[in-house]
Amino acid sequence: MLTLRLTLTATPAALLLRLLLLCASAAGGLLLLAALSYALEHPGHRAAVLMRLLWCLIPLAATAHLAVVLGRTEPRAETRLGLHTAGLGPARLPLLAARTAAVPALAGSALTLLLTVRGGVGSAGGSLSVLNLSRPSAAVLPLQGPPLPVPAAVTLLSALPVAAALAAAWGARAGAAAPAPEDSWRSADGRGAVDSARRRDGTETSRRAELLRSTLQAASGLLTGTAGLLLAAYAARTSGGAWDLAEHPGEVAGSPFAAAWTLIGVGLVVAGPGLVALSGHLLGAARPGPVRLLAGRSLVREASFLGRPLGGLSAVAAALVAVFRARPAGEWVPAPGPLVAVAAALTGCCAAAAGLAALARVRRARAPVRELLERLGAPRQLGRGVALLRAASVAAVYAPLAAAAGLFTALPPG
Amino acid sequence: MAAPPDDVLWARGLHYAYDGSPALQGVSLGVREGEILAVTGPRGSGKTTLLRCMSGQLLPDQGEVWFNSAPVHTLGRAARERLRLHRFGWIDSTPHLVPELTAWENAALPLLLHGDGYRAARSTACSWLERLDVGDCAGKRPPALRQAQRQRIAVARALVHSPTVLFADEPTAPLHQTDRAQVLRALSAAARSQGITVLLAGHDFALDQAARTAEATGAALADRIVALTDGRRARTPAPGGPAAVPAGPEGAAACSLSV
Repeated sequence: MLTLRLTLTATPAALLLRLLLLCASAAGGLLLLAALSYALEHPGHRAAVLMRLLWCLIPLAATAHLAVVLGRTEPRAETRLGLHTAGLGPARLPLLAARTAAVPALAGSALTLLLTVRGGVGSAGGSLSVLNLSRPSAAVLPLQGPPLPVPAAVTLLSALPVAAALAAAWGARAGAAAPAPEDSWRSADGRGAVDSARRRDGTETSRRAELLRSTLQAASGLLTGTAGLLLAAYAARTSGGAWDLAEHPGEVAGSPFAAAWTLIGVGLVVAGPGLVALSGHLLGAARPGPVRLLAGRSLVREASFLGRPLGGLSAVAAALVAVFRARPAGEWVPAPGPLVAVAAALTGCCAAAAGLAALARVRRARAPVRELLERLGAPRQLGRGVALLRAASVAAVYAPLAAAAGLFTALPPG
Repeated sequence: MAAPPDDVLWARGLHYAYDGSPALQGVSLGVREGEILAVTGPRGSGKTTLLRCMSGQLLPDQGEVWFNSAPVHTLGRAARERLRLHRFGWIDSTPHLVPELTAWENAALPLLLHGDGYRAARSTACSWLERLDVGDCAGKRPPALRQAQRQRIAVARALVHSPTVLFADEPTAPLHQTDRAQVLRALSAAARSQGITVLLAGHDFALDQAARTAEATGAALADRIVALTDGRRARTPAPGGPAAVPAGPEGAAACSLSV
């Protein structure tokens, strides 16, 4: 009941997040069922089936990440304080978060089950099975194979809500506090905060260590991405004839291209925090004025919270660029198979939502600093200038990276 | 109506309500140049609201605020921000520092906002930190410091641009007795030497007039004490009462003040 009430009184943004989780869960369920359908259709192709199932992991991970975001932001800070006072402390809050995320995910899975069932669960050949779709939907959804066995379908569909619930509980655990709460050094669940505070006490050695760490992070991410680019180029050189992405997505999925693209995406995500921190260091270097000082230092501080979601966003942008390049001549957009389209849309939406949620979180966490500056009498233009400079420097780091990754990725000849 | 000439800050008939719940109900107050005026009263008596109204952070619902014979309550938002930035200093009851800046950058923030050079701001801020006995923390960030050190950095930030009026809203609330005495002495010594007018809010000036705590609460340092009760001026405590009692030596922490 508490979960329901919290859902009913949630803000529009939180409701949108839940709706997105519902859609992601439905789409993910559809992908899993498609893999099952393919497996039933081709009992001999074990490797291909396994490959399809493995590819479902990426949308699944994106959905789980969305659930982590939901667990972090919901319930809101004020509600959380009230719940804490009422006895719903750090031990039980993850349970609440798990329920909060499980409800929309379950609804999404149920939606998928409903969509794939025509006229209820019938019995075919003595055993229960999910019947296939009616004609018009069957043309869109690739579930033309034999009827799906209900236990298998339900088991597969329950994977997403379980993953979402676990991820949300993990996101709501005590250590995952906001990036810079007003009194981070005094926060109740404070060991992590204090440890990180000691690490960042600002003395010369710790600052050097910080710089070194972010450089290493950025370098490792960029190296991974470069390795992905090289692998894609190698695959393009060694692969033979033309591939039709629309008709045989399975071939691409099993080829080195897929591994290369994954590597590029992972590289962008891994490099994120280091790149944001480095840009912050650069911004705050060489006798900065107040705008540069505040923007640079805040970027350094928030790098670990902002970097990965922004890296994910840039990976999505790179993918969009690559898709645009891969379109067949004369057409505005390429026509990939429905499954690929669903998976790509799901992953992209989840990454975008996670990125936007991270931005919103960081903005909320900066409210005390804004209030402080107002109290000191800092002009309003200062706040705007700082925000603009932060956005501009982050964009200046990520836009070229995403563009380069998208433009220089080798595509399968087609 | 013009303000009396000898009052640097002057308020008349201030009314303020937070969403309908009244905080100030007709407070009038004059602050003379260079004096340390203590505003006392229990929690919820309107001390903070009074200070925020007088410093231009809040606009009173009714009443007037004059600074140096110029009205503050009719100024626009930007003009009040400028006034706060250039002429006023503010110390909170908890040290609100920017967590990602080092101690000296925090202290130098008003100077940097004025447009001073980085090096000049740094040397001024560091000298203030030295005077307040936190010079060795200049390169550290607030999360690595103790609360008393952070509060001293906040004091340095409020004094660094030599404001005309310093508003201190219970500056010793989060500190222990020894730290309280030290911070208040540092504050008052700095204000006296620079001729800064101080408006000091605190809730325990009148409550605890024992000899050892008189200095720790700031009552001994104030020229005048104004008592607030439920958003109104209460009867002023007898002058010289708490201030006449000398401070005991054992409560004071060792500190070197050269302000």
